Amino acid sequence: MTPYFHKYFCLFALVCKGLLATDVAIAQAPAATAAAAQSDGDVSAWLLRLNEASRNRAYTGTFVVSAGSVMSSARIWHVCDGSQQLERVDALSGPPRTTVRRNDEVMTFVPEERLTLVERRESLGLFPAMLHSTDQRLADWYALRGVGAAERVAGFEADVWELQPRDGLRFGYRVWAEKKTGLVLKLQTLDAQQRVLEQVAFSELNLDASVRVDQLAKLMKPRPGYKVQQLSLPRSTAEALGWRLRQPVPGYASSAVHVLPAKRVEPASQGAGGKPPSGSMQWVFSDGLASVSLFVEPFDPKEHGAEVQLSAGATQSLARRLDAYWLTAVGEVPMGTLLRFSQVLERIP
Amino acid sequence: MNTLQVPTGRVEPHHADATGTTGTTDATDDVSARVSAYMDGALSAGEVSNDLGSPELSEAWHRYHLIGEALRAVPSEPFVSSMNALHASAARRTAAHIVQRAGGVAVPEPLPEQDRLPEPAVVALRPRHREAANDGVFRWKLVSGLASVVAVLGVAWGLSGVPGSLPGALSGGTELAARTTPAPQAAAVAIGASMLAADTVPAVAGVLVSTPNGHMLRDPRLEALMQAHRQAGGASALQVPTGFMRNATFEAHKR
Repeated sequence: MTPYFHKYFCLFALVCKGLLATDVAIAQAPAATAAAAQSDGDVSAWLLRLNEASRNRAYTGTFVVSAGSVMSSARIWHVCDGSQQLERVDALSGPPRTTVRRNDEVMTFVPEERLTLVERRESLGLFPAMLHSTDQRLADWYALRGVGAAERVAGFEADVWELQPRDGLRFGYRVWAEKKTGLVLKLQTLDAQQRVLEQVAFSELNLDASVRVDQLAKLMKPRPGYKVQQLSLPRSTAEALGWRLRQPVPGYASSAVHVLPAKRVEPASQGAGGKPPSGSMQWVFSDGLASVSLFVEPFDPKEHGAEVQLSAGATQSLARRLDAYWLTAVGEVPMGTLLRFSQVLERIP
Repeated sequence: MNTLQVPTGRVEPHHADATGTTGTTDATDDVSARVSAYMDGALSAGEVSNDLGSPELSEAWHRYHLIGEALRAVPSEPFVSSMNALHASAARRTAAHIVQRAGGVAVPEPLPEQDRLPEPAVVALRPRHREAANDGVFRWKLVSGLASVVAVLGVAWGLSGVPGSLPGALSGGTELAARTTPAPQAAAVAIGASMLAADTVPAVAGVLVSTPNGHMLRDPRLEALMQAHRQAGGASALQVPTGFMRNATFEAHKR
C-alpha cells in the first residue's frame, strides 16, 4: 500500500477538485485530502486504487464468469497509454463475439451475423466522477473489511476484502485484489446468506504483458462486409417523461434516463412522426456499486401477462403492472429492492 | 431393487469357518463385518476409512464380490473386484450427499458406470442413500444413478422460494414485508442442461433456462431489457473492469 500512498492521494486531490470546484481546495490538497480520506472511510480511496490499477497496467488473460451452474469464459487484452484505455474481449463460450473498447466507445463484432454494433457507454468513462454524481458516499452503504489470509488466484498473491452491505437493499461483494498492484483478480457477488450468486475470476493472467496500443487501436473500426448498427438511446429526465419516486429508495440515486424506442407502431402515433408511446423509458439508479434499471412501457394485455420474478445469477428481475403501464425492473440487487422500487414509482399527476 | 436376484450375496464365510478353524483373527473378523455392513449401506464411508489400505479389507472386499457374482451368475465389470471400486463407491456416495446437503449447488453427479476416480475420496459424512449390495450389476447402477438425478432435480425445484427472508433492516417505514429470495442456483445434472426455478408474486412462474453457453430466456423481450440494463445501466465503481468483462461475456448479440 505504501508506494501508492502518494499516488492515490494525488488522485484523490483530483477528485476533490471536481467535487469542490474551488482552487482553495487544491492549495490545501495534502491536508484536506488526508482528512477527507479519513472521514469518507477507506471505501472510496480503496476503490479508486483498485480502479487505477486496472486502468494503468497492460495485461492479458483468460477469465471465467460463473452464475449458478452456468460458466462462460473469455480472453481479454488490456492496455493503457496514459490518455486512452484500450481493451479487447473475445468470448470463448457461446457464439463467437469480439468486443473492443476505447475509453467509452465500444464496438462489438458478431461474425455469425456479420454485424458490428457501435455504442458509447457513458458508465465506463465515469468512474471517479461517478462517486460525485450519485451524491452519496459509498461508506454509508458498504463497510470495507479485510478478510483473513492472502490467497492465490491465477498465479498471483491476492488480498481478500469484503464489501459488506449495511442494509438489505444491496448485495455484498468479496474481492481478491492482487497484492502489489491492486488489480481485481476475482470478484464474487454475495447475497444476505453469504451465498455466491456470481463470480468473475481470472483463470490465467499475464501482468505487464507486451500489448501494443496500435494493435488494439486498429481493431476499432467496422469490419469490411459487416453491417454497422448504432446503438444509442436518447436521454431525457424522469419528469419530462412523467415519472417520479414517491419516496427515494435508500442508497440509490438516479443516474440516467433513456427514452425507449417504440416496440410497435401505434395507429395514434403514426401521424406524429413515430414518437415512442408517452412514458416509455429506462430509468437507471445506482448506489455506486450496483445498478437498477426500471423499464416502463404502456400496458398491453396481449404482451404482458402475469407478474413474474426471475433470478439469473446476481441479476434479479421483476415485472408487474402499474395501472396503465407495465414495469420491468432489472438489477444486480436483492429482489426486495426491486419490489421497493415498484412500490414507490408513480406517475406525476 | 433386489427383486431380480437372490437376497444379497452376503455370506459370512468366517462364521462358517469359525466352527472348525482357528485361521481367522478377531481383527479380520471385524474388518470383514465392517465391509459387509458397508456393502449393505449400514456403515458410512467414514467408518471404513480407517481400514482402507489394510490387506484384510482388500481380501474381504474381493471375497464378498466374488461370492456375490457367483450367486448371481453375472459377470460384473472388472473394476468392481478391485479396491478402486470401494473408493469409487465411497466417493460417489459422498458426492451425492454433498449435492443433496448443499441443496443443489453445482457439484457434478458422476454417473456410476463412468466412475474412474484415481484417488480415494472418503470423507466422514453419513450418506443419505443406502446403496444396495447389487452394485456390481450395471443395470441397477444405471437405475440408481437416474434415481439420484431425479432426487437432485426434486431438491432443486423444491428450493425455489425457500431459503429465508431478507433482513428486516429496511428504513423508511414502507409496508414492504420481508420477501423470500428465490434460490438462484440449480444443480448440474447429467442431462447437460440446468433449470432455474422462478418464484412469483402472485401467480404464474416464468422459467429461465440456462445452457452452458449462456442464458436463454423464454421471453426474448425480457432478455432484450436485461441487455439494455447491462449496457446503459452498468455504472459501478467496482465493476468497471470486471463488470465490463462480465457484460461482454454474457450479452446477447441481438437487441
